[in-house]
Amino acid sequence: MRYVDEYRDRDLARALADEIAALAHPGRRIRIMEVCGGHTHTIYRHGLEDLLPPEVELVHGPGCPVCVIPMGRVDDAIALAETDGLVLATFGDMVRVPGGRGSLLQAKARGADVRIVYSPLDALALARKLPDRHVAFFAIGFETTAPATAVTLLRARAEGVANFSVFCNHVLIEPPLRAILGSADVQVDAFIGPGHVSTVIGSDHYRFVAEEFGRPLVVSAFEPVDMLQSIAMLLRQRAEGRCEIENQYTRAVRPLGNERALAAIAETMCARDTFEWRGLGSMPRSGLKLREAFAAWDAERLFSLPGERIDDPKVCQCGEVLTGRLRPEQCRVFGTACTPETPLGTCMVSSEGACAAVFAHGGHRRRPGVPTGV
Amino acid sequence: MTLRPVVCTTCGDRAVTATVVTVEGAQAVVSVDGRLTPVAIDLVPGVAPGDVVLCHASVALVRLEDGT
Repeated sequence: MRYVDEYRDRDLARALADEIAALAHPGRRIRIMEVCGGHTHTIYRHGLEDLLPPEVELVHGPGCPVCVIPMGRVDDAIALAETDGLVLATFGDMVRVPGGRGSLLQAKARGADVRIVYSPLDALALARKLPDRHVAFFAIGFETTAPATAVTLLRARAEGVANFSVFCNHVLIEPPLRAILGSADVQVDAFIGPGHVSTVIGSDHYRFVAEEFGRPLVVSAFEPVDMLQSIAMLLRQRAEGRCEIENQYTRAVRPLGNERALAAIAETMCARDTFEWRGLGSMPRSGLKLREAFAAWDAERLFSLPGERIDDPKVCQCGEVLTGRLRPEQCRVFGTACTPETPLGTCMVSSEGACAAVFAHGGHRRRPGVPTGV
Repeated sequence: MTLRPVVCTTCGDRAVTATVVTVEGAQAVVSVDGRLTPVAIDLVPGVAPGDVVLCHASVALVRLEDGT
């Protein structure tokens, strides 16, 4: 398959692993955070850690859009779903995320009309099909998914679709990166930057990581050869005494991103004063809301929502996992009380979550001394 | 137990590449592994049949470039 097979080439991967081994300094550890949940899955699915020398440690970051949605927002979505005459449409992963009042899947079992869609455009199509109902789309995701919501809102306005709205929970990638870099107890030496987010915001967006925090970052694609090449690029920077933002994903990511997508987001949405992130707390200007011009399609303005803040379960350590303080298998409930079938934390719910990735691909079993729990 | 597929609906865990088959206004039909599906091309102007695009939630985000 074009653009996939060539990035899974065994010989190329082996050559890059050899280069990484040559660039690693014995006894000098480097901790590399992969920001995006997609990268986490590549690492475990393809066993990339087994190809790395012990000095190169990969830690997982906050880039799973499902994992960072706080429980209170899930409860708001459930309240929406239970509104008479309303259909709540959302992505598949969101229906299993537990809030304070259970999950959307459980709300559906109680009679709420919750439907899984692949795109906000599908939710808009559903609204056209059901003129006597109101269809609200539970929008989540980073800058990768926000353009799809923006295009949908622009089309809803252009077509005058009045029975459609968006419950906006889009978040931005820069604030959590700043929070991690500004935290005293998180030791991350370098970053693998998210690939798909970067197709929208561009590789230049990360210059603050090098210029303000002195950490290198390589924007990476998602195939195993891509990720190995990105790790090699980071080690090469260290060997040559450089600290720069580099782009490995040149086949898709431009320095300034997709300016049309950014314009569509800016036309329809603006930053909230503050937004709560699961595990990271509230961060200023880290989430998006609909602009006043789109008030007629804003579920938060059209419907009364509880808007309550709910603490995560005390045993859940998603926060530490999302900020790289804990490896998933080090969480006290990993694989025991918390599994993909009965998740306590969002990192185990989402297929992109670090815990789900480690559990699904057996990463926890590769490490001696770590209980498997399964 | 059943392990769920690892492709996320919000953020595909690999470049979900699609080859453009037909274009009509702001919509295109693309082929993903031979399966035809509609995508919005509002954000990627000038897309033509044969182009390979990266799609997210049925919206094309970027046209991929060869040789890089």
